[in-house]
Amino acid sequence: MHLSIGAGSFNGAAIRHLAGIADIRRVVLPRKMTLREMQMLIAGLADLELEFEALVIGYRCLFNDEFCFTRHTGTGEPFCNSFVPDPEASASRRLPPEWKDVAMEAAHAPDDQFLVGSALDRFRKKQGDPIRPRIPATDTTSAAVEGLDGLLASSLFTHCALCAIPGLREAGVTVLKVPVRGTGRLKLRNLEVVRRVADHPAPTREFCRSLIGSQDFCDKLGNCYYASSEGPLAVPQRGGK
Amino acid sequence: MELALYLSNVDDLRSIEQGLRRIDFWNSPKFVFEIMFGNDSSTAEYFGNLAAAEWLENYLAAQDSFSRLYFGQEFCENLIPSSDVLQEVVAFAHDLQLSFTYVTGYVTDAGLAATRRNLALLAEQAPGSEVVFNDWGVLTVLAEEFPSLVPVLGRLLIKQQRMARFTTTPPPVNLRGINATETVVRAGQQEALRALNLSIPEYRERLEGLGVRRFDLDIVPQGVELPADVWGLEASCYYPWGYVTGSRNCLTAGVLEPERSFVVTDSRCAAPCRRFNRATKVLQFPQATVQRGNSVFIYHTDYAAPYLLGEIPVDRIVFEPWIPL
Repeated sequence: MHLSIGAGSFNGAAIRHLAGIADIRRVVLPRKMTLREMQMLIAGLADLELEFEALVIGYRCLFNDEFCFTRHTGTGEPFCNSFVPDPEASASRRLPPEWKDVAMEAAHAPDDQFLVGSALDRFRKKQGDPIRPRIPATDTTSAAVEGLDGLLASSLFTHCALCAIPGLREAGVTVLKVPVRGTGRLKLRNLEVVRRVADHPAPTREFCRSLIGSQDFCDKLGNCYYASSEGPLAVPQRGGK
Repeated sequence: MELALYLSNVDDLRSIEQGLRRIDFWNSPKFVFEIMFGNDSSTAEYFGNLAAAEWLENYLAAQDSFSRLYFGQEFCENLIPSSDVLQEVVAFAHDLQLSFTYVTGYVTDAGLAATRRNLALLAEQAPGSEVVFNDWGVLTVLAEEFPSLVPVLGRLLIKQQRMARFTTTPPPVNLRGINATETVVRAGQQEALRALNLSIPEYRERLEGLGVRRFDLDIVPQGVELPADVWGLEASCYYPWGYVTGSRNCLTAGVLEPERSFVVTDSRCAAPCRRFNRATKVLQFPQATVQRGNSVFIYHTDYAAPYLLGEIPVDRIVFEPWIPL
């Protein structure tokens, strides 16, 4: 029996609990884990005879597989397709606890709010402007990048973890899942690049990127399956959590 | 009907009088709304708070007040409260003679360690407290190490569809080859979406064997099929905010560390969600959702009535003045 990604097993105790119920041979790890977290989880289950599987290419939904309660349907737009994150979108400051006082003062004396020092004037000055994200500047004009256009590569691979395969191997993952969709030719191309990396004795990041063949795709935020720092044999040290 | 107050942030507890306060603000000039809330869709949470405070005032006019405090974090392990904060909240509940329920989420091994630390504190300082679990690993730890705490099955482990396709604008029904009317087919669709995993006897037996006597529900438009005796269990429902979906990557965390918008990282999260809202455009979707941090919520409307009025046999309302994140 294989434990589905839908079981949402983010920790060893959860897998141990489910392995006590059924004869589980393989665990499909959630997509929203770091390699370091996978490594900790797998190491803690060394006494069980389990295989661990991770997804490495193809569509990676923004939301968790395990805890999404929307429905995909052929007759309506899935929520995730309508949910369009903008990496450059700003963030606004949350309102202070006393915001109701401000609202009431403004409601009682709306005309006075256009005076310096009014409740709304003080409120706005305290709230400040929206916060802009710190997006690194990159030149993505076609003349500045090598290889295939990023959007075309995205249509082919959607999301990718080729660079993370050595790290996954080191973490204890022994099975790679290739959840591809589309025509046979597209599926074959996805399988080919994963196979090349899996069979390589020491694939470098440069080798993996050469298989994708699109600097634009590889440099763009949001195309990686796992954190970009998690390159070949580079399971990172955990931060101060 | 028992009424519980649910908070996930100790700062909300410290300013709880403001959070529960009703104000008559709806007739203010339009510019006041524009200045205060702008066009950021995530500020719908504040309108939700105003409506919820109004509901609460009306409810308390006819019913008993809060007898229980829910506190904790269901959706993000980066926000698991520290021991000091948990201690403060437990003391607050004790002083106000409120029963206490500690809420936990789905966690990695690191998050489980933090949860175990808090469970140890709770077992020592408030034995008999409830613990909502949304992770089988947390239930295992509860059952094996903290038998004095009472496990409650959380809403994330109840897989009922929250925004099902048949509950808003229904898609066309293809009746070719089907010997039934469209009305009958639609009723069948609704009925299928009202079932719970808890309707499986073997599943309930296993949960009961691990000490589970209560489960927490999210309110859904299609309702829920519960027998009058709730299979010998007890049921709660969260109101007015329902969880729809979420992730471990987080658009709000991405404002400080852009990669976090899309993937999980090992670096420590500075929890910008406690200070900022960052909403996403939602295109062509029939229901209005509100994003907070890494999760998406919906404010329940009139379809909540059967739950709140006791037509569906829940015996506890878990009131959320704010989105609990």
